[in-house]
Amino acid sequence: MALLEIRNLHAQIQGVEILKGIDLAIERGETHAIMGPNGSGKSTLAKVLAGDPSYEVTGGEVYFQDRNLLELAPEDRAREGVFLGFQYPVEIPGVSNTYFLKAALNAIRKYRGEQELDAMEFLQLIKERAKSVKLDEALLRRPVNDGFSGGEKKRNEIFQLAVLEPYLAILDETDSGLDIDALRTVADGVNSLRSEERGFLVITHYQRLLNYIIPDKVHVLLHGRIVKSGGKELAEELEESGYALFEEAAA
Amino acid sequence: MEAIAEQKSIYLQDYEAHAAQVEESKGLRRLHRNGIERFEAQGFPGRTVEAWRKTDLTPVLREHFVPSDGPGPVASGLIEKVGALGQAHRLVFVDGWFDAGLSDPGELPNGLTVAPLSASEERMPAIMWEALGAYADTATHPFAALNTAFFRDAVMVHVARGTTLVQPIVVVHVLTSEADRRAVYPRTLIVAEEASQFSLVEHFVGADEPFALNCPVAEIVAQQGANVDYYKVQEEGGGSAHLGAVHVEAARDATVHVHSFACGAKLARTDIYANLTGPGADVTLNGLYLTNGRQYCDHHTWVNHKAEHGTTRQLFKGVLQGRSEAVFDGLVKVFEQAQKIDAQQQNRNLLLGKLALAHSNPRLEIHADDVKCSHGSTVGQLDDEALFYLNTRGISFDEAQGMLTVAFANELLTPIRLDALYQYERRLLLQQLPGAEMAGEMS
Amino acid sequence: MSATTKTLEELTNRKYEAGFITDIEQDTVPPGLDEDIIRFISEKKAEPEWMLEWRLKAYRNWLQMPVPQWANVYYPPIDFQAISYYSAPKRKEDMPQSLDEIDPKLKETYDRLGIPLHEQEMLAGVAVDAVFDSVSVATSYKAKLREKGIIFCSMSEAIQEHPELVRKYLGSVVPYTDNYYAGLNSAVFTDGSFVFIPKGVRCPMELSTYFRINAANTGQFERTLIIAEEGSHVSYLEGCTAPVRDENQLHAAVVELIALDDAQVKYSTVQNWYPGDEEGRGGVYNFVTKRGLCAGNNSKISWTQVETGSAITWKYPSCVLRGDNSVGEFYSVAVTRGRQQADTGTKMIHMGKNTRSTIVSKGISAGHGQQSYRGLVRITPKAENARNYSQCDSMLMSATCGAHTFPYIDVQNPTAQLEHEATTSKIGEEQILYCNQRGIATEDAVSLIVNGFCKEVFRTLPMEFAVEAQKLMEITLEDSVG
Repeated sequence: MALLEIRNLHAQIQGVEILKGIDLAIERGETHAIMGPNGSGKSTLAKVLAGDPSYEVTGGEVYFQDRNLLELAPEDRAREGVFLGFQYPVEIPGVSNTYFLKAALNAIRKYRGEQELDAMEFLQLIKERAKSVKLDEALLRRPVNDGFSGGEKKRNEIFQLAVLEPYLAILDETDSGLDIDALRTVADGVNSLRSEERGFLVITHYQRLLNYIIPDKVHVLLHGRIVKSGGKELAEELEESGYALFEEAAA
Repeated sequence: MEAIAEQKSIYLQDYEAHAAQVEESKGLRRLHRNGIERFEAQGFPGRTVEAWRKTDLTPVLREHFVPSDGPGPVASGLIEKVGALGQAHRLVFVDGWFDAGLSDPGELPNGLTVAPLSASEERMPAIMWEALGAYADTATHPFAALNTAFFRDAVMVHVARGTTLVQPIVVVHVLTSEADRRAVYPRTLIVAEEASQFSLVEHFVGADEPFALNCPVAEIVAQQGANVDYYKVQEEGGGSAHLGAVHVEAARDATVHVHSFACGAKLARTDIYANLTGPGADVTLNGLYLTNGRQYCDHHTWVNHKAEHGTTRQLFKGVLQGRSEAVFDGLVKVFEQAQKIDAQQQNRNLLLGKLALAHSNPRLEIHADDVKCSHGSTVGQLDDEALFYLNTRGISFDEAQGMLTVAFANELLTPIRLDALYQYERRLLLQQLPGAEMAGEMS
Repeated sequence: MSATTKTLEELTNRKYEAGFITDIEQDTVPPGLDEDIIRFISEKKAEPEWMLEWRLKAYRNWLQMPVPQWANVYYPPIDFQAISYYSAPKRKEDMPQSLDEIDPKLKETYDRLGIPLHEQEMLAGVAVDAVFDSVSVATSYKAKLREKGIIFCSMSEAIQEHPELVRKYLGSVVPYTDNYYAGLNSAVFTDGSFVFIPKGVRCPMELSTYFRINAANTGQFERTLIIAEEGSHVSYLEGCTAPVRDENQLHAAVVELIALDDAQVKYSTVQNWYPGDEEGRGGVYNFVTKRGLCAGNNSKISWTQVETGSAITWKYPSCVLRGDNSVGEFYSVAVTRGRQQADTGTKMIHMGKNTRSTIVSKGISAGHGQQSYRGLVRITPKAENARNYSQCDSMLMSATCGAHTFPYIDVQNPTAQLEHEATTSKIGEEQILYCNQRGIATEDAVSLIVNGFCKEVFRTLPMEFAVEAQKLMEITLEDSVG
């Protein structure tokens, strides 16, 4: 049984079809990368998997650990263990990072029939995880993403990932807007969280991220379809020749 | 009115004489002609033009600045400054003319092109020709128009897709004493291709005496995901006028940091334009200005949020001594489609001189409905209580003042990511302040 | 329409919970306004001659004043002859001598509103003055306060018992010539609260007035006056509700605060007048003048308001910072939903040296709600080193609501330091999806986001009321989640 299995997925927004039949399977412990130019449907795929209500699924199936993902509300998908690292992390003024994560973690634990963490246990956990992804502890007390720099926001997403410990992490252009140093820190955080239990779906526009997060498989997304899949060498090939090579396959 | 009409004809005559004399490519000729036409269409701004209302251009308008016709000799003090920023890909221009002897481009890594236009016109990639002059706002900035009409040479920087530079690019513009009553028009074009990353410094230095008009224009084009740090250090001699413009174009996910350090010239103004045209673009505009005597220093910023999820941060700080005067005027314009943007603008002025004068005019124009904008401005003196506190600990007034002023200015020095430049600006700051040496030692 | 938008709309449509009518015998004059009515009110309250003269002067001046048109709110012209200017519950004696003498029906009304008038049942350390339509019906803890020299009573009583204080301060901050509705109030005010804190005394408990409009076609015109002498401190809270009625009710109050040297006054409002129904029928017109004078050096006046009710709210609690080093604060949360309109904000007039002011305004609009922040920061020529910090945040919860910001700044002294921050945001799909994606359900997400948005203002409320205000916000903007 695959961790995530997507079969012939179609989705549209405001009547425009963006995903035109996606097939993809991710096993536990695997890291897959999806690459594609702007407008190819990369972010749409991420949002559809997370359950963004602005998109309408018009065909196909998605199974996550044998559960029909598309039937679940967004919060239940999260509670089942699907995490989306947002391309533009959202600011929630006045709500501290700590409070927010506690509400999230306990909602997830409750759903899974686990005991909620008390304040002390929780504090200990987030301090330890903040350290492991090199997040400044001062950011824990600040409101969620409010006034964070671009790099801090992205690091905060990885920190949340480390605390919530999902089974599948989808990272939507987590590298965009980062300079090389910030990119490395984010990649180190992700690499430290890779495990046999957990799958990653890394969505990116730039090949350079994949120098730091080495994927098991690379998929090229063009015009709403995966036009080619391969090993990490596929990313290098793309860097050399660009997407033009695959345009024919997509047409 | 008559005075202005006369001014126009002088510069037009200069242009015509120049055009008849010089052989140049069609492309350049078209660009120059466009510049003079744009200048003629607007002329020098009168006091009724809102954007120039506070800038007293009288000394510049009274003089006829002829374009510099050749480089003067560079005095030894200035030579020292040329090498002050350490290891770099370095180009040097003297009175607007490329100086191969002082330049040291070093070994250029793959993906980097940096050369004067005069030496590389034929092999310039098409993308550079398309970009040159495509961004500078010659329609409303008369000095950008003059530059476009008259520039003789230009710095052309092209960094290819995915290239990260280890060393910074440093361009030094020297004004010699020969430049008296001459106009110099430095021109810079920087094209940062997708996901490239590098720093570039433009360093303006000059001899003390000449009354020169320095009108630089820089165009910075950051393509998707590019990461560019642009530093402008403006420290010409106290006789000159510096009227320049910097244009930033930031595409999707591009990050551009502009840092302006200004302490030179008698009359200085830099207009910084930033267009955020792609989603997720992130632009920082920082400025530190130190003025003394009867100096006048002006920063105008024009930020246009044209796409969603953009971020801009502006922080401008001034330290004013003597009878100097400084202006900060910043407009943030948020276009209708630019939702979810976050724009911050801060201006803080520290008046050390009782007769110094700071003007601060932050402006917002918002046409979107899901945005975050803030602006703030302060003008103030050092905290008397803090000064007194330090005095009671045996620290002299000058030293205490220096210490607190360095603390005030430091917020703009610490983000500098080139150590040699950080040290250099810090030294300039300490030199400007009586009693600051001690503060320099302490932190 | 997406699922999230739908939930938001459901959550923002909630019934008004304080809308019941108390069936009690009332003593109400017929509608209409002339000098005879004013004489009637004055006589009913057995007022001294100077008070009646002041009222009549105010009335004659009011007749000359034009109806103000500048606010960003829309309503049909008010017929001032159709309003009854006096209504009081009928009582056996003239005044209740103790709390036990209050009509049980009135007590029940306040119990239903969560404002018990029995001292033993009261919120610990809060003294309450309850105003029912035109008159004060009860004031608790009076005796205990008296021991410290604190006067806390109804305005009618103050006019009888402390005429020298009333004469000295009434109209000194808001003169009857100030504006149209303050002028009207000066002529016809019927009751309100009076607070006097003597020199050096820290008021040991929160003082609170509870206003309720009950009778139909009445206007409520209360007048509140708080005087804090040198070095004294007081924290005061007012709450307001009204029954559901189809016609509009006018509430035109005036509040005056005076802080002498080193005195501090904190004035908090939780305003929950009936807002009208979905189509905008009925509801209270809340046209109020509130102003505090920092008369002394180092004095401080702080306004906090949580405005969730009224069909139209039109008020600008302001501070005149006359004393050197004086401090003015304004913290506001205003909610407009259904067809509610609000034009609210503050004025900070800096006159003394080193004066400081802080403005934090949070506006939430839902449904067809319309809201304007209007603020003035004026630094007069002698106000050296004045500082102001202003923050205006608007949150839009639907596509049909609106938020407008009018920050006026008038700086006449160059040493001033001013900072302004503004945000406009849409609570919406993106924030909710983000919370959902972290495992948090939509109802919890809305509550989290709204409370986070209002946090800076709630923080300034006395603790008991901060909890109340948070609850009020939650039930105003969402279903109680079961």
